[in-house]
Amino acid sequence: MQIVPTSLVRITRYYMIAAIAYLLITLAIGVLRTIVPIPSSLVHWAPAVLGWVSFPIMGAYYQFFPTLQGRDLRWENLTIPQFILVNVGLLGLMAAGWTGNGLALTLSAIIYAGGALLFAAIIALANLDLTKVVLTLRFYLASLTYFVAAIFLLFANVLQVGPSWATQTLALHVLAFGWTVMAIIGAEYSMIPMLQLKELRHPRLADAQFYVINVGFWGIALSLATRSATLTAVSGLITLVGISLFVYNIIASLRYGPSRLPHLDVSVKYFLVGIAYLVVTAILGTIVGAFRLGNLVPIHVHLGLIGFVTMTIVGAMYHVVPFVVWWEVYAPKLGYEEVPLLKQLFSERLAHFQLYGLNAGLLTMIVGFVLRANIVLAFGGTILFVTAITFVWAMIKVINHRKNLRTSSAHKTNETICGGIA
Amino acid sequence: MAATREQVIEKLRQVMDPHTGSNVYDMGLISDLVVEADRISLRFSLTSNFCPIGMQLGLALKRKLREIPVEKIDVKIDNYLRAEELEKMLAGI
Repeated sequence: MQIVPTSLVRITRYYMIAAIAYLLITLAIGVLRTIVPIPSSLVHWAPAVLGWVSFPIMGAYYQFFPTLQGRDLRWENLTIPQFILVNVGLLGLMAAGWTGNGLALTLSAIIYAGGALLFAAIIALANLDLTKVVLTLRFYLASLTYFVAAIFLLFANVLQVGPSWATQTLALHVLAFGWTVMAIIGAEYSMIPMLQLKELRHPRLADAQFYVINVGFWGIALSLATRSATLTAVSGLITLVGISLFVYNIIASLRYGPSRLPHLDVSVKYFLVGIAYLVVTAILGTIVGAFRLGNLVPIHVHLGLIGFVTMTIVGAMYHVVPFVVWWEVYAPKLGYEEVPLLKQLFSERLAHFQLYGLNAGLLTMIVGFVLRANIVLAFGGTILFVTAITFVWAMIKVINHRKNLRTSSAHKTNETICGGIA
Repeated sequence: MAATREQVIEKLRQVMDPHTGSNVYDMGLISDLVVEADRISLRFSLTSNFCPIGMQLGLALKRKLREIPVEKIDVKIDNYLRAEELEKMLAGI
């Protein structure tokens, strides 16, 4: 009997690979802009937030929504056109930003928005059973809603067709906070206990935390739309309460009960470092908003996007990419022959080195921002870029295990299971 | 020849969780193990309700137990969203 992977694995893998490509592009442009001016900041932030940040979430949702509801992915044939749309749209946006071509910008924005809406439709219309919305999915649903709102706000702003309150700052916060932070918190409520073989210590507290952080988010969004420093301060504090509850719950979960693993899983290490940056980012963001300290915005943005988001995505990829490759290549052989462990598909030492590299690069950049020294910024960016290259190499090595598919003896059997009995 | 409890435990120790590197028996995932002359029954509790390789682990476990010449092997699944589906699948092999 053999388990045959579905293209669920394929679309998730495509998204992860494309995301890594956008990470390299983002870092390269980031280093470049410390040396020479670039035509538009869109060329830097678009691959960062619409590619590197958004793609892993989309890829993960295609896997998580069916998995967490105990079913298979539906409307699977639409996932590839959806993937193509967001890629064409994003590459078009970057090209239009570089050349300053307004028509190309409009068309690319429409194409990306079309892809984003198709993604939301595939998840919401075909892969959502409202009777099975567990904690993580509740966060994902909120995040998905904010994603759609963010895309409309962002492109209304880029195309200058939106109302005056729909600023780029508001749109990027809806994208970074609403779409990304909600997605990551939702994922970590499941993944951290799962990877450490623990259980979430306080599920009811997590339920309450969902509402607290959403109230904080709405307050921040409203404060950005109305430009109210007082509201920013109040909603920033509510957000901090929400984040504190999350941090407490995660730590309590890790400390509770017997430890069946001798060490922290490497992905969990990345997640915990990322959470530390989330706390710092939220505190700094509240201070920046409340006291109108615009010069600290780049530090706030980079702590959030690199410290929290990138750290988390890299950590997640060290679980998801080996897992999908293992699932495709080795799961059919489980019970028939010896198969490698997930952690044997990559070098844990290299993963730890990258954890240090990301921190070193980011902290160097923060020093560069504080000193307003482009050379320090370029140095920090270069550390990040080199670290990212080693990460790409690590992921390529994981994906190379797929060559074992061609020699798989298990594929010669006649029986087939594909998420059920065939 | 009737199956022995030691024989069953040895087979269960060959079913490795690819995430932890430990086997399902030493991880404490097996309970209610009953070994009779022509029948083995046990309860397999997954570490997570959403365990992404729950199906594969269940199948691997049944394959290993099938190497013991007994007439009937009953595997009950606990703490898994697709427990019913997996139990039905395991009953067929």
